[in-house]
Amino acid sequence: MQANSWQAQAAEFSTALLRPEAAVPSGASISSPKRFGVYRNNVNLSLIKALEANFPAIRKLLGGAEFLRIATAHVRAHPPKSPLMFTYGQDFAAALEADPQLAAYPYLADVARLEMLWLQSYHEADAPMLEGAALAALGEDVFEARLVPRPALRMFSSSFAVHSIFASNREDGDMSRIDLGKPECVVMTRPQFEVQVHTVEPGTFAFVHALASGATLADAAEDAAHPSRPGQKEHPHAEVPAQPASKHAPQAQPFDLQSAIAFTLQSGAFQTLQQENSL
Amino acid sequence: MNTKLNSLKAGAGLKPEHISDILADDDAVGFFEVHAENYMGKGGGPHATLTAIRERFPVFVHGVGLSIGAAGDLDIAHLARLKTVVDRYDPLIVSEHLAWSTHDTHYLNDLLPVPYTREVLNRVVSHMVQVQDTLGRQILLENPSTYVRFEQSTMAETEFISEVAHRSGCGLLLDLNNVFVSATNHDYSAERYLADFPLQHVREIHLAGHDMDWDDAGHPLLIDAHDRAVGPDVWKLYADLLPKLANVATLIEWDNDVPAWPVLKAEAKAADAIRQRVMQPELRRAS
Repeated sequence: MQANSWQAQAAEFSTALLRPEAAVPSGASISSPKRFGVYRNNVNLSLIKALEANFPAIRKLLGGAEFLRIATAHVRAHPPKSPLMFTYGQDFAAALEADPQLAAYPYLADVARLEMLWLQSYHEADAPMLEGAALAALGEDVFEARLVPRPALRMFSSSFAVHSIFASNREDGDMSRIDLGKPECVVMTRPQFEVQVHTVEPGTFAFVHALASGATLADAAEDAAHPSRPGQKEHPHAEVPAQPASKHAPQAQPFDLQSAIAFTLQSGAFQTLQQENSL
Repeated sequence: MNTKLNSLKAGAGLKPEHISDILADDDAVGFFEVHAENYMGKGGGPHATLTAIRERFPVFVHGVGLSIGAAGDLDIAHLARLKTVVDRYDPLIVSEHLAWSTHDTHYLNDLLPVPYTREVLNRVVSHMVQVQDTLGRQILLENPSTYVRFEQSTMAETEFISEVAHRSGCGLLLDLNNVFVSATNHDYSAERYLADFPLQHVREIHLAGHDMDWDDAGHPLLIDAHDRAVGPDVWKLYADLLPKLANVATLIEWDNDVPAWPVLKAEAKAADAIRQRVMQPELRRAS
């Protein structure tokens, strides 16, 4: 037998698993289409189920048959690269976006992105929550404070009512009262074990975003006063991916620093004050 | 390694939907086994619940994603994640499968069969050594359930597994449902298979239910579905085999169509009752 024949055979086996039209691999004796089909079913159905588990709102939006069509194609074109099924579907939003049959539902991809961020937040590392007292103790220096985000913080802005669509389709699916084309800015936090999704004003989004990027409170407040392009800044904190904002950014409300700080503390977005290098 | 496995009551696969029932149950089961991959996130709810379970029960860690039988190298990042889980929960037993699930970079999410050749044997042995060296402990390898066989195979499955255990120093996880499924699918005797199996290395038994079907030629085709109670044939294999095993723990697996907690618990209690029944003559002889 040649040196690495198992490598070649496994390649043939795995290719045939993901292609229903492929013949049963040649090396498998005492085999038959139905026997090989047990593996083919296990692989394809378990991966479709993984997508279904990871994207419940998309599943509800599309309905069973349409979801099955798209998930089946996706499993074949983009099998997972990791054994961690709760990370599967990184390319699913792009697939929804590229599907010509879904062109009439341009919000689907952003809902899928939000579901992926939800999963990331759900499994992220635990961390303590920043206490308001820690900020208060700084007195006048508070405006020079920089904050460390908690790992589970995720931020996303969309030109669609992405959170409203997401929330209704993780429940009863009633979208009759949702203005689909209304842009929404979303801050996702996980105070303890449940992920909390908040829709916030563009000013608050810009404020939290700037703080999570390492800006001082004063600079973050400055950013928040001009929130026309939330999320478009480079984000040095890699754990907090920000999506490009809509071209039709929401009309900015006057920025309210007090309530933005209150939200920042209550939502559990941050864990501690950044320690300055000692002088 | 573990010298008290025999004294452990039968365990159950841990399902998230059972957690609150388990924590409220004063007479649950002997231990819980978890799939390692479900606890490879960094934090959050899954770890909080497993930590609560671990405070009250021994935990076994059962990997499903390492792809021990793959032709290529092991995924070092995945092995490191397994080590993190093992270090975090200090499990009594760590196990993986004689199977592959990754090819190139594609993870296929199933336990796929390997041909029993010298080439694959060398691969599996070196992978097992690598895993045990990385984890700093012995792990168990589980016999597979299979639906096809490879014409290149030059060894019996039992011979292959014996050599892996002998050369890598690993222990074995004997899944009796897998034995029954494979024996039926490939027309050999499960009893004969067990007579050839290196029982001295077995530290854990898996019991589960299977689905029944027929292949294209009308031959029985059993599916390792883990979606129902343990079948009578598998219980019989268990009762007959127990007196021959020196030191093993028993686990009930039920992963699909998961029943209410009392139903799963009753399966574990049934295993305890069998052990008590068949081992009593042994104990009487010993005293």
